[in-house]
Amino acid sequence: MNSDSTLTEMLIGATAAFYLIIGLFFIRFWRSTHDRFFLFFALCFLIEAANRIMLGLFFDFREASPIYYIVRLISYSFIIVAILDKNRRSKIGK
Amino acid sequence: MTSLQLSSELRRLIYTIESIPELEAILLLQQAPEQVWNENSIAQRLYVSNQEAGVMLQKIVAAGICRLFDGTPPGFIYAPASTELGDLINQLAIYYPRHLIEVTNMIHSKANSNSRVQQFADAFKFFKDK
Amino acid sequence: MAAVIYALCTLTSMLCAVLLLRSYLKSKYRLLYWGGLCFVALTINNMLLVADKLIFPDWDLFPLRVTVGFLALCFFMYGLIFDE
Repeated sequence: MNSDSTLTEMLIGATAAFYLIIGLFFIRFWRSTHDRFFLFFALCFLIEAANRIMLGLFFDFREASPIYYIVRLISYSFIIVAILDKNRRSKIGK
Repeated sequence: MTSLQLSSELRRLIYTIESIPELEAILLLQQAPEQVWNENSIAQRLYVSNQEAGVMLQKIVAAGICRLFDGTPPGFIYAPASTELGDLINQLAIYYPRHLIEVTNMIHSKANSNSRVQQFADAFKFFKDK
Repeated sequence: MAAVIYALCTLTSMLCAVLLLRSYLKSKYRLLYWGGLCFVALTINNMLLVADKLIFPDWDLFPLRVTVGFLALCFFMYGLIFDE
């Protein structure tokens, strides 16, 4: 383990916390606007938070298999769903 | 007709409404478009004070939803400034009774920051309708 | 297969960045600016991921990627707290 790794670990934890907080902001926006677009974004950010927590706890998580990036892709897919959903509804519209 | 979706234009209209009595005043006007209303009649129907009714009517006039009617007796009459606005209010009249809690929450919860935050979601629409 | 995953991540974050910044230029709503910056940085992060895994397999860009990822979120946090 080189001297980078403590800083790196700390940043992984800080990033996880930020993803969590931003996810909570989106939950709040979802509840006040009743627009499920924000729910999808919240899920993306909350899943990324969980992903980072796993990364912090099990550092081998990233070396062993690409699952860390598959989880990231899953979280991004919620963003895709949000965008598709927002554009689908605006076409049906009035 | 299938149940009405909450389109983003309708959502934006709801955000501009500050209170439930104001929304109900708008719907009162919409449901009786020939009738001349004033502070007293609105206040009576909605169980608010004359003063509140007066303030609401001023705001509704400013929003282009009704206009002054100087006949005898003078008052306010339903007159949406555009057909789009009239359509939106008609949609609101259908949507509100079926989604009471949702609309009430939207009006009560920090209406100002809602409409701004909604812009974040609207940024992701590929085709800006209108 | 891994390349597809990394590429899709990059494209998705890039799409978000473009949509957010395009809307910011039109409406000047500050949160769109910070959100856009966040996703620009995440796109850079995903590109670094592609570089790390596929282009420069001898180098370890992980600490750099973690730092850039953290900075990306700092933009968004600032925007959400001060400019919402």
